[in-house]
Amino acid sequence: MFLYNLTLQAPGGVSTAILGHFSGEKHQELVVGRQQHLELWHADTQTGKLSIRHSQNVFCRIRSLAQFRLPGAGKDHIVVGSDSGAVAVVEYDAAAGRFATVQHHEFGRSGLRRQVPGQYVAADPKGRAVMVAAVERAKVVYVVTRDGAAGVALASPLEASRAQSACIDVVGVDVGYENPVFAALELDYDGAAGGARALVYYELDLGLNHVVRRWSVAVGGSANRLIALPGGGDGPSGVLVCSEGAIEWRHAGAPDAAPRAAIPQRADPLGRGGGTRAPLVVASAVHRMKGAFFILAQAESGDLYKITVAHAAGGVTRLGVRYFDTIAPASALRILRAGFLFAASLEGSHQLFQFENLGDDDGGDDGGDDGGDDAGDDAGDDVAGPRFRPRGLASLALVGEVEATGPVVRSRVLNLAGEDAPQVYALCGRGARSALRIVRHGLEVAELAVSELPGTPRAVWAVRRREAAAHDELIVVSFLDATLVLSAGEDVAEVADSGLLASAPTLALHRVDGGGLVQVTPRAVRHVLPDGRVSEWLPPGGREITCAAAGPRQVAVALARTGGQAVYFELHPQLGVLREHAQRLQAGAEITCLALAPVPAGRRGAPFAAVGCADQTVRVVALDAARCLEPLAVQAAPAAAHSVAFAAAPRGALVLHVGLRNGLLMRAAVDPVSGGLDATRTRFAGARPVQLCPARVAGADAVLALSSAPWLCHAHAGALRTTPLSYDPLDYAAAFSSEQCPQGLVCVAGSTLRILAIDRPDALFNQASIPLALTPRDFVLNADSRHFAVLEAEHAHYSPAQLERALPPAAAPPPPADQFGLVRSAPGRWASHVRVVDPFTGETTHLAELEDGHAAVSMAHVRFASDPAPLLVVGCAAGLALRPRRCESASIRVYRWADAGRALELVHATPVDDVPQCLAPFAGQLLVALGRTLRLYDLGIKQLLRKAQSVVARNAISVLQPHPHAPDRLFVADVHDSVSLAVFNHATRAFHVVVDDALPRMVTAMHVLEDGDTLAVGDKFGNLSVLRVPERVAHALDTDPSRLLHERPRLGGSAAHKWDCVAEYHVGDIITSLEACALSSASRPVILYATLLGSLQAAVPLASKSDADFFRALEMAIRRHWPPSASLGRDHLAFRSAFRPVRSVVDGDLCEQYFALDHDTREKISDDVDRTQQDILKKLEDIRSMFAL
Amino acid sequence: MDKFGMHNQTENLFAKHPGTGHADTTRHQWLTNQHRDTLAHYVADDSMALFIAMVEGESVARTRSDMLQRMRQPCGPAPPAATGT
Repeated sequence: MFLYNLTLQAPGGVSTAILGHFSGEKHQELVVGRQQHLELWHADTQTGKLSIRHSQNVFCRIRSLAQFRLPGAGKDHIVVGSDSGAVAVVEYDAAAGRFATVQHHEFGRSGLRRQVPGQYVAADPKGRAVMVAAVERAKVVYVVTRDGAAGVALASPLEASRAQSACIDVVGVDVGYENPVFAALELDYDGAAGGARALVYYELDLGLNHVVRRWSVAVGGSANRLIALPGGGDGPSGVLVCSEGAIEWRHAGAPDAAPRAAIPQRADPLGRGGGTRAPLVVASAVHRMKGAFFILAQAESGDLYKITVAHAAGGVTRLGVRYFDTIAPASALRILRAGFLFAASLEGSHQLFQFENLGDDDGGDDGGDDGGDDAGDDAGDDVAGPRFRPRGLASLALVGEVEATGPVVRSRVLNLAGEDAPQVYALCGRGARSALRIVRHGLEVAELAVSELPGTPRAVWAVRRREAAAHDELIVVSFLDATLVLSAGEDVAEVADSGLLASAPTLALHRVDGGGLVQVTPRAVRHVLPDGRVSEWLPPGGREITCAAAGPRQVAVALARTGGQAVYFELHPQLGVLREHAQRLQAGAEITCLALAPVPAGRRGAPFAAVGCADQTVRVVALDAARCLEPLAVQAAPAAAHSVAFAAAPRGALVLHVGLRNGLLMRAAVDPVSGGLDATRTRFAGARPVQLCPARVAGADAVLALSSAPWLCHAHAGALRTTPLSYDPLDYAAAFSSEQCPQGLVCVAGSTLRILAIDRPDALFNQASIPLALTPRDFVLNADSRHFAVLEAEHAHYSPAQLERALPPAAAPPPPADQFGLVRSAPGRWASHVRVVDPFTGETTHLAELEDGHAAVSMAHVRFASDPAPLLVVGCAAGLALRPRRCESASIRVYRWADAGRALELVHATPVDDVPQCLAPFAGQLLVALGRTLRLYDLGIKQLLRKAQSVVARNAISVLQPHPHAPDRLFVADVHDSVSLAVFNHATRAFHVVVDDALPRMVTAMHVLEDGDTLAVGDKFGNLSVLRVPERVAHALDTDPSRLLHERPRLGGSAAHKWDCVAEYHVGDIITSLEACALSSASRPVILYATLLGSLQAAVPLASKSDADFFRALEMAIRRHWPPSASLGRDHLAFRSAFRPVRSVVDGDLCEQYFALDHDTREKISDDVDRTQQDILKKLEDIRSMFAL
Repeated sequence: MDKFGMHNQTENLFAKHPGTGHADTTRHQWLTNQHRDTLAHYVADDSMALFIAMVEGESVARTRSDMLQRMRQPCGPAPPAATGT
């Protein structure tokens, strides 16, 4: 097996973000680190829309970002801390539109290591030095200078390491133009203070060029975050040390009694005085204004606090912390100068807020203390700061959002809606912000209007009547035997005075330069002049016009039964009338469709026309005066063309799209000078003849391909892409512009007229979401009623129902959980329920709540041999403790579907003696994993009946999957020791492990492929592996398994045989679900997997050896010629082999970087691979279209 | 004996690369080192930190802070020298 791995959707969670002027323009931009993707985001301060300008895969893990600006420079540079064992200084090259590494310095081994710097980076606010720190011990300071060419140069590193200490945070202290100082929060292993943390100042002496540990002070044992205050002339300098429940100001030379403020705490809805936890600051932002600054900090619950700092010459005199607003918990907060707050999240969507005010400063307790007498004591223990009640947004207003799939706990690929392509149903998010998301491959289509029409329309156009009009004024709908003219505007009404013929269908319609419209009907070419006069051209001999194409100055019509004759008209430049060209176009076969090329800038007419003929060819003919109607190119097609369309492509190229009668969509590049056709690609679009409609989407030319499913062919990131639209099948479409939607589409579907808009052509997936109440853990589908049963469980929090019961009678209602989060209970307490939800309406039809303190752990849908109806089985544990994992009592509950599969009723509960970690159906019975033990149950009347039991796993079973064909085999995954294949021996009623693994794998997800011998496994460290039963064992299992059952274990394992490892690949993110599925009805299956941080990836099996060799060679050549400026110093091969050497998997993301490379590098690569550039591009596109990606 | 300063260099290397191990490494030292490696990886790896935070029902920042605190003595204080092997 040889796999080609492609990222279909990049991970959604943002771990770090910085703000600055990265492209050297006036507005501020955001640079965002999303695992392996470095992205440039733009916040439109007019509309408040967040957009992703550029996303670059850097093939390493981005751990931290900082920005600095060299004195006098026009833009900010980015320092990236990654797992590459190197520090990289990156700039955004606005001209090339990508990030380029300008400086790169290696200091250690690659990987996420304890003592190799990269976890934290901090820059001096004046841009003179950068500190890179590791989790433990190592800190390196680089002096930043200019080199001769006014670029950035890093001087040799200066070490500031301290053995036996962990580092918790690093910031650059603002000390003006004195020697740069970095503040680090450290935890000394040997410290006598019993785990107290210390704030340490490291000073870089620029004169002597060394770093000294200048000052340190003990801070609370829960201090976790530093906020640097502005210094120099703008503020008091120094840092705010955030601990659990309190914030204090510290600075070298300041008095020991530090100003300190308690963080206000939410009023507990249950009225508990103590026992609730003090808030911990998780994110912060400092905004500098002229002569002032503004600080926001966010606690775990999402509450924002405004920190006020009163300062005098000697330092800070008073600190105040006041509740500001509540938003979703963020991983990074940034305040834009234009008055916006950007909140990026690791576990949800990213939001942009506008400031409406800066919070009220009057009255109320702000937690500050004026004396500072109790400063220095441990802040974490007994802070009972002021209390507040959270409220809705008062100072902020949500203006923009980038949706992210968030943490994906579990997902399944199903086609419940009966669409062409299956949907991904994913359990996402955590706590009250979790949801069941339905992710579809396709662009999101916004439906703006739908109206019924009398009859079934064939085609539609939208045109302006006046030259000066900003938007379209008429919508023209053509029926089988009539044409309807509607006014497009506030109200849609029929227009009688348009001059267009209503009693015949319309074949083509276009506005003519200089005013007027041209309408082609089967019997005439009608030119409606602006004054209402109509000049008509009638085809000779009463022949009928079969098809036509019209442009602003040109019209071409094909005549029926003439053996492929077409008449060409041009607008007379002086007279303003259409004139028939002296010659006719002779295509040689009946013409089925016509199209005109777009008019190039500076030209008066289209240079080419495309003609589709019944003899299964497409021809390109010239239209310029010198060689008018001269044939330029002929392209054979697998079927007759149904429609043709041109579209402009990036870099001045021209593309011809051909929709064929058999549902194929063909694309060819047109040489802009000679008109020759080149680089043909074909893909399947649907079961109907493909109708092509030119349109404009997001400011660029695009073509809609309409078959049994609608597609959009457009350019994205320099490459042409064909993407499905997540919408009903359409019959015809045209570009439409109105005040509400400047770039929309007017479409006909069935007997309706629809106005649609495609706002985000860059997002390949769109999603609908159904909110859930608690962190989802698992779900199963009831295939008959098409309802999901979702298992939700939350540790140490009240569920909404529990909270309601726990509330004292006269208490105020608690704040809504979806906005303010769940209320914390105590560790060891659980809330769980099973929800039955209809994925089509989003309605919860039943909620089966478990008793207080019961954690729902696992679920399965089982069809017992002794009961005809499928039953839902849920494993529960009471008093479940996580570390070490144990419980007070546990049970397995059996539910029967009621109310036609829309509700559940409890049949019985069976006590078990350990946590039932996983459940699976097995040969008409229920298989339960209890720690290391596997137990088989059958259904009884009062409870489940134990049938067999065996110890099969080394530590604890984490995943169970029965064999797809053989009823007595199953795959058992251990939390630590990989997968083993167990066989049930009916004679002894015991499970025997037959095959196990030689390597430890902490399995989080697995899927057995259809052959039953191969399985794909995802582990906790972000690796994808494919394992296979050795051929000899597979044969023995099929013929005589009894011999295998009693073989002696080998190599310290539990079985005599080991898996053959087929493929290994480091994904870089925990795989939570794996499935083999086809992404459309006409494509071959792929291994589709979702990762915890929300990425969706596909591993495509390559069938032929030549393909595998080609991609392997291509990957190797790209690695070799990969420009150093595009990498952060992580070797690609080493990254993909981070835990185990990569095997039999080619990184498709790296191969697709070929599209973005410059011509010289491409040429070098194509020399290495011994294929032409065109060949390589075709291969890369083919593999995507073949698997419908 | 130590003609080329080999011993010195070795000492230096041991100091620079903790966890290298030597004949007198105790079981506690070895385990502490293993645990610190693991915890440091969990702190540095976003998806691992989120995974643990979600299971425990805590915020990622608190999970990271707790894991860093655990790095101080992941296996508890060192036992007295006589019983430490």
